[in-house]
Amino acid sequence: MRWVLVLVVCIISSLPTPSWANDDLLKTEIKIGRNIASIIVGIYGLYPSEKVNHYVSLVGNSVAYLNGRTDIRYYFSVLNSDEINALACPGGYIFITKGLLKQLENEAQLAAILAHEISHVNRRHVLRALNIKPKDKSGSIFSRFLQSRHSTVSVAFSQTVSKGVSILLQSGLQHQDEYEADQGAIFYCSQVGYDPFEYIKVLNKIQNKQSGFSVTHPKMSNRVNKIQQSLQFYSPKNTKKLKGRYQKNV
Amino acid sequence: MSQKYTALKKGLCVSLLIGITYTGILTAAPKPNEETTQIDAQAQSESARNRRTLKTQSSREKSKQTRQVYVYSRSAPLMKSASIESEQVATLNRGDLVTIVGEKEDWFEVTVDEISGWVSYYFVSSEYPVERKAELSRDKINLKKQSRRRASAYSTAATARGLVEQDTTNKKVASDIKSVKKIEEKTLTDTEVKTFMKEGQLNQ
Repeated sequence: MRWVLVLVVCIISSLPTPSWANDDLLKTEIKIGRNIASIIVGIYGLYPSEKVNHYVSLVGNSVAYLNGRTDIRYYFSVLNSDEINALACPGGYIFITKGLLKQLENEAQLAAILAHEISHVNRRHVLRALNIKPKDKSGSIFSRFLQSRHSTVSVAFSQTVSKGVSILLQSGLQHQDEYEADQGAIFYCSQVGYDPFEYIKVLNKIQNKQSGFSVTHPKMSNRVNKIQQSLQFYSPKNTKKLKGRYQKNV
Repeated sequence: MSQKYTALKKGLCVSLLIGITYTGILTAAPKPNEETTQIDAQAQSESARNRRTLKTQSSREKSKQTRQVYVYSRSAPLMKSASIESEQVATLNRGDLVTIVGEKEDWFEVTVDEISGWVSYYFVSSEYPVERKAELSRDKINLKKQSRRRASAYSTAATARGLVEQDTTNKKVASDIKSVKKIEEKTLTDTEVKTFMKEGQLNQ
């Protein structure tokens, strides 16, 4: 009798994940990202200028239109902070600080920063870093996160969100993920038609300044070296910097 | 005893049949369509063990194992060699399935419709690019209560980790879900984005 049960359990456990469980994963990603975003906005506040936020959103969505995931929307907003930083929450919530905007010279540089963040979302870097176990003894954690009516689940969810905030503001992602996002940024910018060399310029410019990147990202000189290697023989044709449009809107 | 054994055998056969049928239905699915979720496509191409954890492998490792990947950017240049400045031999479109025959750093050598070339790792994915199905249902929970609970849990966890300067001062850290909802309401249309790109002479 026992071996029959073992065999049945084996068969059931080897079955592929049904689609509703996968929908739960996507919804959980969005829900976690949304809650992390609400705390980030709670800490820094949103920059009140509609014009600047709209412009940043247009630039970000131009990059995402050609290179983004199709199962989510991307949202781009400006944080009311003088810190030099940009953040990507799971599910497509992307932020850039007012302080970083002030450091940029043209639209290509803004696009590169946002493309780096889009790359994090595309590859689900933060979500993977959260290391959520999909199942425990009581069943799917994702579906319980989505309902989150039980206080224990609520606390577990809040802790996951806190961990996400901590990754974004304090501990950072794995260096490999940052290098990957840098490479993604130059490919995405080239694809849209922005000058990818502007990304190197902006990284060089902010490397000596006190920024959120210095805490959470690999050494800037290492990042610049890797990007330079990728663009070693690249001579861009008809790529844009759009300095005038940037200065008109920011 | 023998009756019991026969019943057991019958039960086993039925279980096996159900298992095989279920597995067959799910794994014999053709190329994913709009109704298949992105994760479904991933599930079809990965082992059961890998499906049970989010972090065991990076997407890059998955792509290498899959040997077939989808183009997930709206379009992707197929280059003659593994370099950004190489000659473009064709343009791949979102959803195209390509077979990996080689790789070099961040590039995959691929074949599609008897054409071969190199495509950047950053334009492809092991997951089929499904369209967004529906918005996440809005929170129907009391926002104030939710906000207090999140802020409280966040403060506790953040204080334990010594998270950010704001946490250790008297400044109260609270989530601002209302502002996030405002962000979500200001979605741009594809036409607005395309017009913006056209004005900047982008994506030519």
